[in-house]
Amino acid sequence: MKGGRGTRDATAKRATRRSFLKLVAAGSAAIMTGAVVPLARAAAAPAKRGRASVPPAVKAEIANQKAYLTRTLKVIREYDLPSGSDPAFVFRPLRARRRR
Amino acid sequence: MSLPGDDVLFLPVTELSARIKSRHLSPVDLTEGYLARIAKLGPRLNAFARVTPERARAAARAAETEISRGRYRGPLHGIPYGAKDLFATAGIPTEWGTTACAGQMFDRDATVVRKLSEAGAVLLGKLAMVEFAGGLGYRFANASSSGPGRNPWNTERWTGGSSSGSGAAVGGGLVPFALGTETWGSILCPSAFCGVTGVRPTYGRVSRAGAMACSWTFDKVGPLCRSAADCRTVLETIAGADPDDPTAADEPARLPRARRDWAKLRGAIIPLDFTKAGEPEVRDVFERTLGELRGAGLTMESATLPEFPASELAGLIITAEALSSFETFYRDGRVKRLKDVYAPWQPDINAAMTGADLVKAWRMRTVLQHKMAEFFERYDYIVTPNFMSVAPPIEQDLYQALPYSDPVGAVGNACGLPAIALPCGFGKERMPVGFQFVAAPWDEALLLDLGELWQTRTRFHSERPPLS
Repeated sequence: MKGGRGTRDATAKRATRRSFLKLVAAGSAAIMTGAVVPLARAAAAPAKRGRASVPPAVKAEIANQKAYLTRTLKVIREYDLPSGSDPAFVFRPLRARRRR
Repeated sequence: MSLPGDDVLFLPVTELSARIKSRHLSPVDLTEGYLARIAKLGPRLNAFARVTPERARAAARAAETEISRGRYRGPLHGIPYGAKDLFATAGIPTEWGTTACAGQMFDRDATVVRKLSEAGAVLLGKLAMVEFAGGLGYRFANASSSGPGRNPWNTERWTGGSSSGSGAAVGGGLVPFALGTETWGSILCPSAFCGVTGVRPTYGRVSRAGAMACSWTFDKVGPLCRSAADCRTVLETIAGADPDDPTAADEPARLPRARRDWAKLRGAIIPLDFTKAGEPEVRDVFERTLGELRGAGLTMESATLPEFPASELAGLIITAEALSSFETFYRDGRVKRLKDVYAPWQPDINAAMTGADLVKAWRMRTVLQHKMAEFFERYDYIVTPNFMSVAPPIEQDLYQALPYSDPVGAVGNACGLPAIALPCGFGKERMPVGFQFVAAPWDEALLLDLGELWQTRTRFHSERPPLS
C-alpha cells in the first residue's frame, strides 16, 4: 500500500508523516511532509503576515505540502477503478412540501 | 456535606450509578466533588474550554430530587460528564477550540447533549479540543484556544487529539465520562495516550446534529470512559436515528451482551512494523496483550489488510470536506486566528485537487468498503496496537514525534468501521499504552464484549495517574 507501513522509499516515508497527522488531527487539510526543526520554529510563530513576508521555512513547508498533494493525486489518478464500479453516493430528488 | 474523594471520583459509571440508584451517593455531592477537582486540576491539564458549575448544580439538584421521589431514569441519572466543545449547547458558548469562534452561540443542544440531558446526566462543562478538531491541520499540541492538552500521567506530555480535553478529563478523574468525536483518530488517540477506554462507533450509529462538521462523511461521535461497560451505557444512550441527522441510522440503540464462544470467532492480528519508529516497550506490551487474549480463549492469526491506497483516498476526501466546512473562515479572514500557521494556506496548497479527483476518491472508497466486507467474511474482528509509541512531549513537533502511518485507522475511518480503544499497560516513563479491536459495521456489541472480557482479566483501566 503506497504510503503505508510496508513501503520504505522516501516518498512513502513522507506519506507516513502525513498519515499520522491525519490520525491525530481527526482529518486534516494540512499536508504532512518533511519535518525539520527550523521549520517547526517558524511554524510556531504568529501567522498574521502577508504572502510576501512569509518566512522561507514556511514557504518551503508549503511547497512540501503541495508536493505531497501531487503525490497523493498521482496515486488517486493512477488507480484503476474497475469499469462499472459503484457510484459513491446515490442522488435522490427532494420531494416538495405542498400545502394540502 | 463532605465531598467524595478520589476513590469515588475514579469509579466507573456502572458503580456510581448503582450507588446513586440506591441513594448511597448524592448526585449533588458527586457533582461538587468533580467541580472541586476540576477547579484544582483542570487548568493544569488544560482540560476544559469552559466549566459550567451553575448549570451543573441545577441539573444535579434536579436529579437528586427526582431520584428521591422514586423517579430513577436510568444508569446515567445524576452522573456528571463533559462534552467536547464542538457540541452545541444552548446558552453556553461553543467555540470549536479556536478564538475564531469566540462567543459562538447556538440556540439548541446537539442531539447527543439533549439525549444525555433526558437521561439525567449532568453536564459539567465543555471540554478543550484542538482547533476545528484538526480539520485544517496542526503540527503542535498548542493548536487550541485552551492551550496544549496536558496528559494526566505526565503534564509535560500531550494528551493526544483532537478530543484532548475528553482524554485528559476522563484520565485525570475530572469527569467519569466524556463525549468526543473522531474523523480519523480523535477518539482512539487520546484514549491511548491518556489510558482510558474509548469507542469510535460505526459511522451513522450516533447523530451528529448540532456537532461541528469537519468532514461529514467521516465524522463520528463516541464516548471516552473508564471501562468498556461504561462505554456501552453511554453509547446506548446517545445512539439511534435522528430526524435532524439523515445519516443517523435506524439501527437498534441497544447493544446487549452476548454469551459468545470466543474460540469460534476469528481474530485478525494486523502486525505493525516497530523497527523504524515504534517504541520497543510498546511492542512488548502488545505482545503480552496478545498472550493474555489467547489465554482468555480468543483465536487469532496474523493477517493483512487489503492492498489499497486507503490513506490517500481518506486524506483527500477529508481535506476537501474540511475546506468546505470551514470555507466561511477563509472568506472573512478569521482563519488567520487559528494557531496552526499553515491553516490559512490550505486552499492554495490544495488548489490542484479537482472535482474529478474527489469523485474518484469517493468511488474508490466504495471499492474499499467491498474489500473490507470480504475481509470480515473471514474475520470477526481486528486486533492491533493503537499507537506504536506513548504520548510525546508537549513541545515536540508532532511530525517528528509520531513518524509512522496508521493503515488500520485509514481503513477503519474510510469504511466507517467501529473500534474500541483499551488500555493494556505502560511504556517508557510509565505512560499508558493501548490497543484496539476493530469490527465490521454495526458490530459494536462484539467490541464491547471483547472489551469487557479484557477488562475482567486486567486492571489497566482502573489505574490512576499520579496527579494530586
